[in-house]
Amino acid sequence: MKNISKSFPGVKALDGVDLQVKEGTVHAVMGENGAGKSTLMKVLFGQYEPDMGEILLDGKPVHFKSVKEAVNHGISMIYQELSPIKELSIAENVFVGRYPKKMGPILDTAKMYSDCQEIFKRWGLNYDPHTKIKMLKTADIQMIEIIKAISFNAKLVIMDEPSSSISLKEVEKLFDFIRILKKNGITIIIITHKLDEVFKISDRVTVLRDGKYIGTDDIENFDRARLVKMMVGREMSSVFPQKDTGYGEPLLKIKGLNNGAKVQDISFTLHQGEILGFAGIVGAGRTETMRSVFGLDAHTSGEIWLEGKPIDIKCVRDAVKNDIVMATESRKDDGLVLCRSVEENIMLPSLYRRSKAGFLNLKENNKAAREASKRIQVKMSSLDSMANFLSGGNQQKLILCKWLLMNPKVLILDEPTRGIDVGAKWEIYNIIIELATQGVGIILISSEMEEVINLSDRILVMCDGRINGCLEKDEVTQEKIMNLASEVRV
Amino acid sequence: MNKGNKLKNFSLAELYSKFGVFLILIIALIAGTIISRDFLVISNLLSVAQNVSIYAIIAIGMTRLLIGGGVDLSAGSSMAFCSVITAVVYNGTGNSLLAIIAALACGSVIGVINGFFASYIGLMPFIVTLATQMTIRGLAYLVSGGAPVFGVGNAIVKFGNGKILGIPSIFLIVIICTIIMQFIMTRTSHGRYLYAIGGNAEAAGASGINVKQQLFLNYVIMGLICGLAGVLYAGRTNSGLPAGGISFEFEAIIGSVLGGTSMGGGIGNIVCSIVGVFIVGIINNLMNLCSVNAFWQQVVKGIVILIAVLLDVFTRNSIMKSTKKN
Repeated sequence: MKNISKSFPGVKALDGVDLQVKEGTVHAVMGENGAGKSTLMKVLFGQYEPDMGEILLDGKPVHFKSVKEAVNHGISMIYQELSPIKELSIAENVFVGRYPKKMGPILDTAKMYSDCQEIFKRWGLNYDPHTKIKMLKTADIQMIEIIKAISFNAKLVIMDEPSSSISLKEVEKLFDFIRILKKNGITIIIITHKLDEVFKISDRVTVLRDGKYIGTDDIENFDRARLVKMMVGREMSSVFPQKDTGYGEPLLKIKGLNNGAKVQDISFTLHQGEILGFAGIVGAGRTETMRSVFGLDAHTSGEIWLEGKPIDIKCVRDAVKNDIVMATESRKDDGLVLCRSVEENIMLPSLYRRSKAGFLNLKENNKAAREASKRIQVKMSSLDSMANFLSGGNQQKLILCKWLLMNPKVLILDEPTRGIDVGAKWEIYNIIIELATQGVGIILISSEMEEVINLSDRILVMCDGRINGCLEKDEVTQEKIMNLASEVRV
Repeated sequence: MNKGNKLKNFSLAELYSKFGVFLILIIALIAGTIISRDFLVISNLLSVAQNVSIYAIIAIGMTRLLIGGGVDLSAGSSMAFCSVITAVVYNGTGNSLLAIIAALACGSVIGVINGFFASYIGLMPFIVTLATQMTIRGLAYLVSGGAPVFGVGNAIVKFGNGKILGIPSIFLIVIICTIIMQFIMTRTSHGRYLYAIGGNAEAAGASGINVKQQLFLNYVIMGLICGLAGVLYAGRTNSGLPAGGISFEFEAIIGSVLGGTSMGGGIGNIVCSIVGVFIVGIINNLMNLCSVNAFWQQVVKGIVILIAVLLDVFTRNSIMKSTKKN
């Protein structure tokens, strides 16, 4: 791949990126969230058309207009989120879209199962082709997806964060299989955040940062420090507003929180007026932890203490009653009711406090919503306009707005500035700092390093559902965070 | 320029979902006046009002369900069942009030059952209410012994068939119920919650709303409304009709959708739905006045449904489009 560029409205996702992969090697592509790894792979796989640049396969230029063309050229991709057809058997999934047929349109089921068995035997795998996919674990499904890919005669297999949702032991199994593939001449590109894995499995590494090509080298020439430096080593470019005040008394205490899956033994303390950053890679369990604290998801064990008293949070209303609120990550999914008006969205959480026996005072509501939206400076044509018609940044402010109206003691922010422009970010930072100065305890989940580092008083780094470390403001560096975020404790 | 376009699209969709139905009503009235000399006569219009009143009552509840992201296909059966209960209890006790209370209670119980499965168990409302539609129809036949039960007493007949100052009393009941429900939908937290839940149940839940409880309540109120419709239906026919009310729920849905209620939830207005029901009534009335063959009437009605759904899609699509531009 040479000089690949790809822009999305408002963002330059890839800017002149080169990638050269040698046949029969395992090539790792590394970078932070948003570095452009996945976009690059999607260009290679024919999902996106590049604005510029060309792709050479075995020295010949190719131009994929669709995934199908890429597959026909021997390229396959294993996505981070697997999407098998759960109700069908393994063999049916492997052969989906190209079932062996006999006498015209009739399926040759027997041949399908024996072919499938044949493939498993060849690769030394022990699966029954009749098993339904829904009976399998994620790791097994991943194997099946790989088998499916190579049964298309793939020469090049792309794996997007293959280890993100499977256990350590399963990762070993996966890597063993990758080595077998390599021995058979199949080339593998693996996208990952995790440093340990890169050193374990890959032959060469390419690093991307902010959509730009940083460098490629053999793994022998790397050590941990150099790799981290390449991944994060940018200057702090933008200026962040500064918080002058420290923090006060302990406010919220979480002890040994588990949710039975992604959240394991989380304990931390949030103080009054503190901005507590949560860093980590996507999928480290930060959102899940906070969803449990907020009552959106159940927790199986653990205690939540507020101002020295234990509280019981079973549902969102319990949290809200205790003045713990959370501005959720996705505006579309669980943030806003987009087809309703700005006012209705702002007032939604606080209606139960403001209504008398269920009846609303429309005038008072309108006034409260107007004041709140003015305070946060939500730009809109009127309070009656649909939330849909606000820009992303203003929608984000709207979410803040609806929770601020509740005068929370604890405000949890999950990616509060995702996908919004710099100006709106700056305004949101100012709001966050103003609130903290007033004594609100703020938990800030963000995948943007600069944001977490510059706003937080302390930073907790999560990895694989656990808190891997705590960094004070004066000792924090991007390298330290990166190290903690990608280090899996065994 | 982009922004201007967006606003234009937005206002068209928004305008239609708010006032489009009134426009259609005016067109229907004008068309009716031109087509038939007997149309724009007070007595004819009042008879249209009387004829669509039962649909209108059901449409009040149906609109609430659609707004909250649900649907009730058992409404017609429930109404028939409650009309049978009204007649049976009246014949047994001779007490009108007792008959009305029994019918309303039965309707509410049906609502509790629908709500339990559709909300707390989380089954698809379409399937749940299709199942209860059949079950309750069967029960209506069982309770009535398979035949109409005659006689519900003067008091109830007055509700269904009487007139106050020349206006059908059943129509007055529609107006009262519409006002009450419109008030509930716009000025109580319950109403606001239903809009929010239908618009985005996840966001509603994340805002601390007890989604299941609100939806459950929605079905119970729908049941209560079906009970009321049952009483009025019994009053209208002076009997409990186990075979009555077939496909009344669809009349209510058509009216709601014509009135700008979105099948996808979150958008709708009780008053507009009632106007929608009236439009369907006017179309029926016109076809009768012009003595259109009954089979053709079916064809026309089918086309009206299609148009209603197209309008729904059109409204939603233009909203979606302007989102994408964002």
